[in-house]
Amino acid sequence: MKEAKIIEQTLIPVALIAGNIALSHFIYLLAKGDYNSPLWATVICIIALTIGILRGNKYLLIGGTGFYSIVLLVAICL
Amino acid sequence: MKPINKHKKDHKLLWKIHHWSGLYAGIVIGILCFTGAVAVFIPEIDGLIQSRYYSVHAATPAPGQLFKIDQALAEAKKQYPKMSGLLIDMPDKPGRVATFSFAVKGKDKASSKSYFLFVDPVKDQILGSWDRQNSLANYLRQMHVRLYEGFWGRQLVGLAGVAFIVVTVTGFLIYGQFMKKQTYPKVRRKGMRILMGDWHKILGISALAFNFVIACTGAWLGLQPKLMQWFDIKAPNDHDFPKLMKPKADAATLVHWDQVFLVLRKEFPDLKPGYLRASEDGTSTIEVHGSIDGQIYEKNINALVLAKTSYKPLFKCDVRTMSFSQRFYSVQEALHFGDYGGLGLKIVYTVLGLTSAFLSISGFVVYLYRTDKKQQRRMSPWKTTFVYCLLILIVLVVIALISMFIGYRQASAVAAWLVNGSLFGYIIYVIVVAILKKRNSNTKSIGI
Repeated sequence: MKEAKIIEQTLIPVALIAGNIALSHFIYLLAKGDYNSPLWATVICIIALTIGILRGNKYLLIGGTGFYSIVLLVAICL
Repeated sequence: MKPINKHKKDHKLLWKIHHWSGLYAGIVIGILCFTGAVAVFIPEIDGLIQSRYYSVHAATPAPGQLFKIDQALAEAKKQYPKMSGLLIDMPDKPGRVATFSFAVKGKDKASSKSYFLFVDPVKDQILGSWDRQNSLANYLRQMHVRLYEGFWGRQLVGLAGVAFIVVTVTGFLIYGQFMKKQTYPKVRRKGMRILMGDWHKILGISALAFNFVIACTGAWLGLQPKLMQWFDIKAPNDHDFPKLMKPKADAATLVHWDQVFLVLRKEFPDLKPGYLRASEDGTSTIEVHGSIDGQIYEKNINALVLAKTSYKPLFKCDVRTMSFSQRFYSVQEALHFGDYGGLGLKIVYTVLGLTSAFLSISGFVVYLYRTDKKQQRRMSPWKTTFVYCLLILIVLVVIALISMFIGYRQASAVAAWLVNGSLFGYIIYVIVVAILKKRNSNTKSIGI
């Protein structure tokens, strides 16, 4: 019960925020013609987040959000 | 740990803030989201009108070929010898035209006229002229940026942006409280109020990050002129040069733009020129503003300033070498307009923008349903919402028609009357309602 509450009220909203940013990032990389590792990492994150949101899977939600945060931080810092 | 009652109180307060800020600023937020969803396509609309309506096409330059505009400018100067304030807009894609924008001053402000000429920057010739002020693109720009109101429209838009931030943040904080018995994408079909409420929650949380970015950047862009003035903030490409000659002599100095393009390629090869301008204030400079491909920064934020007589570089602003704070400043506009990810991202921005416009409508419908029994309105919530939406749409279309077929000034005057009239009417209405409520509650307490 508590786990379902955390998934619905915290993990999914945070995953949706990450998903919004990841989608824009993905389209930007496509438009830039940058088909290197950041693009594929972003695609993997988007897939993980989408499945996680639709199935309410906490591992995919945490993994997808965490991994994408790292991808984004690396993109900003480099 | 907080006691449960304190938690409930906090949520109630957040919900109240969400409710009132949404109710009072919802109409403006809705209009801005709707116009913004269309306004992201302004360059495409401009391009389409130029090629389809005016039938102007520029030749495609060969790889490595430099732009040439000297002959076209000489021709323009021959036709309009009293031209001033020349601004040269360069095409952003091959095959598009460049434009010369300038004014010919009359005896007074009313007799001054603005001109816009299409130029082929490859064949170096004038292709025609157009009325940019009365174009659809200018209407969309003015409506979205300042509600077509010149005095404080931009600040009103900025304040609506602040209200949008408040609505987004409070919406995120209260979301969990409203999703106790519900899973994420599920929409319950138990009457119109619950249905619209569910769509409001689901779409609101789905577009939350987008809305937050748009709200923050929109608030900044709307309030930017005043904030920069009050806090003495300087744009990264701001520069001051000493005056070397009299303004008249400066304006009369001939510029060889072909030479400018040559120097530009040598000094700043990655810069794609966006607009060019020669000084007329005595500083004797030439400004070239432009963008570097593949970057998420404001259009034309990079700049190269040359001396007018020697064509030597005096100032260079390259976004890649800027500090973090300057880059943060430069990223705002690009994030707001979504022009860094091509047509695909613009489509995403439009869909999400329309979603945000829907949020203000669905929020209003839920409010009407919730208060319907208590207030005993004559019209049903749907009818009321439909009438409001239709009225707003009619106003937007009428101003667009005046702007395109009668004139920019007339449209601006009508919009100013409407915006300021509605604003003052609204404030008076709120004050009167508050006074009446207070009087009623006083009468009731005396009666008890």
